[in-house]
Amino acid sequence: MPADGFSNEPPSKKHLTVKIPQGVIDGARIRLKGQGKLGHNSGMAGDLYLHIRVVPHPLFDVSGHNITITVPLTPWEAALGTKIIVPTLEGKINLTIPPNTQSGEKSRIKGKGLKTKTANGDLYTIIKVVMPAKTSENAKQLWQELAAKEAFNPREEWSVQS
Amino acid sequence: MNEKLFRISFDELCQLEGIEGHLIIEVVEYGIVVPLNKAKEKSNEKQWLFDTGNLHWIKKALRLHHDLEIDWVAIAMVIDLMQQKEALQKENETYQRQLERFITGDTHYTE
Repeated sequence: MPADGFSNEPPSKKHLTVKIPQGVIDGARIRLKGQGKLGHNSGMAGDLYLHIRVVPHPLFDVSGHNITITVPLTPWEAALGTKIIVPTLEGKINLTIPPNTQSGEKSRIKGKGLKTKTANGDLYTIIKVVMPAKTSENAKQLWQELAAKEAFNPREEWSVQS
Repeated sequence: MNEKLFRISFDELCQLEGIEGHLIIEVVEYGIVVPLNKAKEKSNEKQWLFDTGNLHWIKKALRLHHDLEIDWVAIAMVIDLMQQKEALQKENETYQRQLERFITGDTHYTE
């Protein structure tokens, strides 16, 4: 017995080629008219609904029509500023990282998100400062030099003395 | 083309989905779903068009009405809470994924 109780026909298998319209977002339901089972009293074929789920992209996170990319930077790139190339959905763009960039800093690149017929979403970049997995002897010396000369204390507001 | 993909009319709801017209009116009256053209066709329900994304909410509301025999105000509240829960769940998934990219090693997402 089919779940809807409308038809006693056994379920049939068929393949459909469906063009997904531009601007469809995660969770949308697309109606394919007349591709469902036959109706119970009108004799008209029912509809088939596709429930759209967007598979996570390796680089971009989608939220509505906006997308977010996490941008890894070395500590010295974050400190000194740099110019990097960021991938977008349509080719690459140049991004200037200003000196003293904080981890977690977010910026918006207008119109580089998902496109719909009426509007374009934006691309957001989130900075992530990454330490190298291993520190060479040379780098260690340079860090030590910096540690000796710099007075910056990120735990200033803690009551305990570090 | 998009009209057909994302919209369903009042008559089609009755004929194809087997929903009784007066129930659709109740569902709209209690704000469980809002027709796309409600402002324009306020009392002309035959002309109502619905977003296909709302169809499952209409069906859920009718199931609650039928199976649990609870009144429409309560159904509207349940549906509203379910929608809020769904939205939060989705938001949470997005944050989880972003957080994973941010605090664990790779900014490349792999399943």
